[in-house]
Order: sequence, then structure tokens, then C-alpha cells
Amino acid sequence: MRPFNLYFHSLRIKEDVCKGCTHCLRNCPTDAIRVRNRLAQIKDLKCIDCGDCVRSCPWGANEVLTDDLSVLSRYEYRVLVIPPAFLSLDFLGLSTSEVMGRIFALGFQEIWEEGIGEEAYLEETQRILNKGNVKKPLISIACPAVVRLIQVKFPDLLPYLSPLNTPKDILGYTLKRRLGKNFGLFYLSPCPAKVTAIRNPQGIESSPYDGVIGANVLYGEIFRVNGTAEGKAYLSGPSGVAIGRIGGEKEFLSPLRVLAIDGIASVVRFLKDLEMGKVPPLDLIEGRSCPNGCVGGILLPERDSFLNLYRLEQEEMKRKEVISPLSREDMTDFLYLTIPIQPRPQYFISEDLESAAKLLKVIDRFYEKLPKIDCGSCGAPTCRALAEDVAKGEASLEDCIFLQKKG
Amino acid sequence: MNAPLYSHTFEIKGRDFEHGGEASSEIKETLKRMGINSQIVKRAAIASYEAEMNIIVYADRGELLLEVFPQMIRVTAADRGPGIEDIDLAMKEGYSTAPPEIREMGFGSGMGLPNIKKNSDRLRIESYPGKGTTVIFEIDIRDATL
Repeated sequence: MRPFNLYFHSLRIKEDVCKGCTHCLRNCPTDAIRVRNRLAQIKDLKCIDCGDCVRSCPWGANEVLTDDLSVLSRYEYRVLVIPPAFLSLDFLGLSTSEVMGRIFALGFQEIWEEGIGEEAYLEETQRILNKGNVKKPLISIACPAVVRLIQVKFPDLLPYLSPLNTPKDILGYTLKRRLGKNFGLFYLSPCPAKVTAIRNPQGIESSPYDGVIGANVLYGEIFRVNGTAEGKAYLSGPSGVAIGRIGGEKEFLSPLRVLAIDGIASVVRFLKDLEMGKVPPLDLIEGRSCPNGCVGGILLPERDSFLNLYRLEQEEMKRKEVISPLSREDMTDFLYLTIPIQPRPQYFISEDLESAAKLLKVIDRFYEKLPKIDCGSCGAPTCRALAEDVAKGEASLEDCIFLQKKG
Repeated sequence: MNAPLYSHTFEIKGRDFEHGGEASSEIKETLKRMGINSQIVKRAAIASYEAEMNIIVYADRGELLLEVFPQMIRVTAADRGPGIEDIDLAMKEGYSTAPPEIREMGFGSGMGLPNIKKNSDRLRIESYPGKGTTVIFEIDIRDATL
């Protein structure tokens, strides 16, 4: 699938629903949102598709663009890769095999659990941490929002990113080669970051997936479809399931020194310390944008990630071995990213030191006039951000309600 | 020396551990976004952090003045604190006059000034016991662009 825009995002603001309030504004980890003319706007170059704006919107005005099931009709044979977090949902009494049967009835012939790719990913991670010549702490690339955060806000840390391909793409490429060209490969996404990772992938030429369906969409369809159908389901072992929650990489890689951090704001704080060299020696950083890891993904209909976490752990205990015809060798060709991950260009204030200094002076001058309370009423997340917008000609000092009052 | 391309003053309050490190964090962010080489930014940030924490630990108040010149970064940390009795001694790794309660918080390990020296190209300390201390350090910008 070709990205249709260099900075494709799966997050969109529903203009008819957005009230222009500022809930999303202040939760955005990269200051990517501005409210202008009573409407939230997302800055393409800054947005990392973490979805915290969706989580914080009381009106449901942020939506995530995914495919619906109508895309299935383009293919005769259809294969769905599901993330481990999906089976952590409450299916209202349906057993796993009933859930699978209903997914088959919706038009899929095969279901593969992403965990099968994850187990290959974890073993290779373990191998390179023990033997490979990698910069430590290695930063896991399993969460695409964390990868994008580093591109946008921490370009100096790019050399620490794991060179490995993501579990879903390791499995995706392997399936594409195995099944030939005449079938449709779909990914069931628990979050906007993974939707974007398929539409506009980083580190690989193009995604192996032909479409990406939101977990919320499929969840709804499971309860609408009549009856069940037969199909082939391949499931991972316990460690493939465990990567659906925070700590899954850490437990597999023990006794290697792994730090697991969930929640994008916590990841930001930690990366700032890492940049300053203020962290103890570590082998791997398992960073996840969502609370409790992928079980907290915002496309999962169950919003209580603690219940999802509980059910995922129950599922882990049930798993004994992998049910998959793939051997590790089948996946070895796809274990690594093929192109380097680059910083996003928006980061620098200007092209050279002199003009950056000039612009900074202007920003400082505007900032001095502002009340420095970061109320967000102007539509920028902080007074500093407004000052920068004003300096760049994107906003006006009069947007500040405190300056308006002073007249 | 000509006027700096950019300068900015950060006020620091003594004993304000909660906000400790914010000024140096802003200095780091500013220098990064100006496009200065990341290794140089890191040195400036670490040295600034040590200077900031020295003010917080020892003084009632002070300030960090950041100045960016085409060839170098200069940070001037000035405080109204007790001053340093013996600068040569204070430069020794591990030498500290911090009281035990500060050490319990993980500060005052006697690495502050040595760390500033290590991370800068030039360091000058002026101190007047009973009045205050001024620490000035400079870091050369060898390669201003990434």
C-alpha cells in the first residue's frame, strides 16, 4: 500500500462535533494541536498518532480513520492478523473459538495472531542484546507512537532505536511470501499509531498489509454477524500474548536489564533523562504509549485497560504452545528494518544558527507579554507555544484573552 | 567579543528542588532547536544542570544567563549564596560542603564543579565569601549544524 501523503495520520477531527474546548490541547505530548476558530487542528509534522487526544476528548470529536469490512470484497482469500490485546476484550460470554468462528463468518479464511511474529521478534532482540553490537539502551520499536515521538522530539536518540522490524510486519511479510500474491492481508489495529504505521510505515519500503481494520469496528461486527463459519486459526504461545501488555518484553528478556514504561507522558519524561545521560545502565527500553500497553489501545472498545490487562494475563496462562505452521527460519528474512528511520524536519527553529537566534529573540519578546499560565484559551497549549506561533505569523497576540482584557 | 546572537536569563530559587533542573532543561531544548550539534548541547545541558543545582542547594536565589555566540555557548551562573571559601578544594571530585539532608536527597556529592569543568572548554569561578558566587563556563561550537 502506497502512503498517499508523506505525513499521513489516522487521526482526524470531526468538525461538526468538535466544540473547540481545550481538553485535547494540553494532553498532546508533542504540542501538535491548536484550536483555531473554535476548532481543533492537528499539525501534521508534529502529530505522532498516539491518540491521547481521542482519550481526552469528552465529545468524541476525534476519530481514527480505518478501513471497514467493505474492503474485503476486493480479495477472494482474506487473512486477518490480530493483536494479542484483542483477545483480552470482554466478548460478553462468547468463547475464543466462537469469536474466531464469527470472524470467519465475516469473510476471513485465516486468522493469525500477531504474537507469532512477536515470538520471533523477542528471540532476535534477546540475541542482539546478548551478542550484537548495538547501542544501549536499545529502544524497542514495537510501539509506533514511541518511534514517532523520537523522530519528532528526540532525534538524538534515533541511533538507540532497535534495528528490528516490528512483530506485525515480520509476520505480515512472512505471510505474503507464503501465501502468494492473490490474497488480501489485513491487520486488526488496537490504536491509531498502528493504523498509521501501516498506511505510512517507517523503516520499511511499504507495508505488507492491504488494509487495516479498527478493533472497534470488528468488535461491533462480531455481535451483528449471524452464526459462525470454518477457517484456520493460528495462535501464539504465552510470550506472544504477553507482549500485548506492558512488561511483556521485559519478562521474556529477563535477566537482561529492561525498563518498561507505559503512558506517553511517562515515556517523554524518561527520554528527556536518557538524553541527559541521567539513567542507570540498561539493555532495553520497552516504551508503550498507552496505559498498561496495547491492552489500553484506544480502538479497543473496553476503555478500562486494567480489566483488559487482567483478561490478557488469564489468556497467557491458558496458552501452552504455538499453533502455527511457520518455523523461525520462515521469518528470518524479515527480522530487520530495511531503511533508516529519519528525524522529522519540523524540529529545528530555523535553518541556521543566526536566523534561529533571531526568531528566538522575537519569540522571547512575545512570551514576555503573555501571562505565563498556560491556560490554553488562546488555542495554543502553552504561552510559549503561542509566542512561537505569533513569531511565525500563525497566530496573533490578541488571541490571548488576558491581553484582550487589559485592552 | 561581539554581542551574543541570542541571550536569555533564567531565574533560580534556592531550595526549590521540585523545579530543580527546569532551567537547564530549557537551555537544552533551546540549543537543540537552534540546530546546535547534539554532543555540544549535551555538554552544555549537563554543565548547566550542575550550575543550576549548585544555586538550588547553596543559595537563596540566583540566575543562569545563557548566551549563544557564533563560535561558542556561554553560561553565567550567578548567585547570592555563601560563596566558596577555597575554590581549589571545591574543584576536587567528591569534596562537598553540602549538609547531610541535602546529601540524603542525592545532591551535594562533590561532583558539581568538576562536572562543569569536564563538560566545558573554559571555566572561571569568582566567589566572595558571604556574598555570592559567579560561575562562568564556555563551550565551543565546532560544528554548528547537524
